[in-house]
Amino acid sequence: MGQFRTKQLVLSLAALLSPVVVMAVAAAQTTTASTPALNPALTLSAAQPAQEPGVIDFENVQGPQLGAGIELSDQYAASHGVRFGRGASVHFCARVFDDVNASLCSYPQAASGRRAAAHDVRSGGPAMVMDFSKPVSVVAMRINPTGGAEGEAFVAELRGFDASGVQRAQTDVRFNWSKDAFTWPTSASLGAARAQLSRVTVLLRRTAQNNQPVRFLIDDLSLQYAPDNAVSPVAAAIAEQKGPPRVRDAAVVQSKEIGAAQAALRVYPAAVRKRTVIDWDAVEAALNAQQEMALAATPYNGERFVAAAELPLLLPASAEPGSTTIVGNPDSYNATFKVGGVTYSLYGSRLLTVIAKNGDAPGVNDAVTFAGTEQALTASFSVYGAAYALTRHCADESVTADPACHDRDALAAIAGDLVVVVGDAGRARP
Amino acid sequence: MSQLLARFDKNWIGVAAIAFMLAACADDAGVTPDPDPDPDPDPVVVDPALPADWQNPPGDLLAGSSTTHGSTGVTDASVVAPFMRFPFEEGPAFANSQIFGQGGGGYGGGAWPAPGGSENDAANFDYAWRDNFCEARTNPAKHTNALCDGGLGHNGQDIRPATCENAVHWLVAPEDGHISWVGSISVNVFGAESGYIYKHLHMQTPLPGWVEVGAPVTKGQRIARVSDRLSSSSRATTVHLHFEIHGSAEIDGVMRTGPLPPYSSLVEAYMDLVADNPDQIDPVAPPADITKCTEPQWP
Repeated sequence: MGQFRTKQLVLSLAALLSPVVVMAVAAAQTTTASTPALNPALTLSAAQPAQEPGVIDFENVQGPQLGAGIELSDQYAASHGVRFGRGASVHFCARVFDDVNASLCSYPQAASGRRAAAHDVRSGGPAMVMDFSKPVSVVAMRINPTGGAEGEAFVAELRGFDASGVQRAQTDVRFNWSKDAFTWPTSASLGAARAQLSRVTVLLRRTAQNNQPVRFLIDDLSLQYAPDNAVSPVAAAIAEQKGPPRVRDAAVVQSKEIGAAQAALRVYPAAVRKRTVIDWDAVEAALNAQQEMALAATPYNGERFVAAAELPLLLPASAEPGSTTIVGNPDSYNATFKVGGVTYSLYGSRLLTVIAKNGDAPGVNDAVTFAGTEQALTASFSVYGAAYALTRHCADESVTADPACHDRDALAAIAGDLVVVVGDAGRARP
Repeated sequence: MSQLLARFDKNWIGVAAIAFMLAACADDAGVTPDPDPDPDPDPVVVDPALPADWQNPPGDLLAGSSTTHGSTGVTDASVVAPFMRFPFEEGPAFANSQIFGQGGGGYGGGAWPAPGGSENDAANFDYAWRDNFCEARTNPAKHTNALCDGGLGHNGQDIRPATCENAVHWLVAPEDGHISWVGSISVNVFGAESGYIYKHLHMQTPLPGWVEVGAPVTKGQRIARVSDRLSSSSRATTVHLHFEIHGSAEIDGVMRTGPLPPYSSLVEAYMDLVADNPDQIDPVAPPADITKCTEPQWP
């Protein structure tokens, strides 16, 4: 069993993983029906294969095999592009030597083969740290505590960060001693289709001890290397914007509830609203480019709103599976989704309310404007003729409690993962 | 219907328009009896009986309370959401400044002082309404507003409910639509008619499962209660609703998405509310037990 180092193992392991990764992998490999092509002559290209997966079984680490184990650091840097942080070591778990009890293996068995990797919180801090020279999109492993009381609950916390240090993925896996231990039945994984994770941390909390981090073992670390991410057509279109997004073509519209008689009875006049003209040719070009890149939106809830939308919808390609919910009407929509455990909203509209400002504001000539509040950070921009706003919500709606929520670079990174989606109504180019 | 009739005496143009329409109908009626007479009773003009000058005009902030120490906010009086229902289930309600009202803390460490007093002062729960969109806020990281002079200012309108009682007064959906966000102290509604996002802050959010993102709501449906929360663990503000209308706008020919001035829309919606509920106009006496203003009253 320990000698399996093939993709087959990765796939079988993925099948055992949490639904999160199973869905993420599915998202990466499937072009969904939610991104129909404007040009039916184009056929869907095969999903862009990620680079070959890698498996580390910790069997071939050189060094003394007994006692406290072999310190892990850069033994897999050349072969797998990963360096382990302080506190990681490899232990011999098979009952071959008399001093097996001197290792951290509480039960003389590894998930595969004879060895497993351990993390010691005393020497390495609370979390095992893995830094990748070659970014990964999915990381999976078996995880085992080194001991516990019968029925005791544990939580494995996996976090993934991009090269900028921005958290892009997270997974919490809960299990119990001893039914989820000894035979290594517990898998933990994280990732997303377009994630480019340069650092992954793994931490195990023991709930019976105030959630204190405790030492643990992992075995058969599986890595899915991230594909080379070309800039998405949407991100490229946003980047091409120069200067303020001026309203070019738009027609005045009137709400069905703002008839002339009713308007005359108002104390104040109803605002003028305009409906913009969408650049459907540019949208079609973006859709075609996305197909060639096998780039698709993460599956979402709210298909009927997408079908009825008469504007191009921008949606995330690397949201946490199941986290995207869309509401809308033909001219506007709002999508909420999560990336790396953080909640975002994306609002889009082709209806503009004409309003006069009071004085000048900085940034009025920028193509993208950022607006911060106590609760969120929003980037406002225009592309394809419609207006959009991408918002990162602060944890507990407080930037004081969550200063990272105002990181503009992190918000821009999310914008770089947006794709354009057109529904049935949009294909008529209204 | 009664909402419209209640407006007949507000505006000469409206009266003239209705008179014109009635005259046109009378011409037809002179030769052919109406085969489908209006089942409604004879129109009765309902006077909301709001006090004279019950609302200051849009953009007329408290003296010195703007970010530039002036008193001018967004003076464009356009009603951005004429289809909106007033966000409180019941009146009376009082749109005014929190931080510059009685008991408010002012702003900027004394640079914009407050009058002192108590949050529960009767003056806070009385007319006249006052716009506070673009009110002084100077932290560029937290208070960006492209419509305000200098690009900084309050992003919404503060509204006090009838009394200072915490987590008692109901917030209702301003339009048919869907819940688009539920935070620890906020509930947002996507308006199906307008396409706007209505943001409601400082809410005692409903129990889990009551409303959730994607859930449909109908105009007037209860969605949360008004509280004094700044976060899930902080109750450091007054009992009030911070109300925002977010949408895309054309501002000097440029397309932007963000907060729109809500004051004039609230004026219209409030007149609709009290026209149908004339018993909900007058200020009410504060609660005898003032602790109700500080203790949560949930459910």
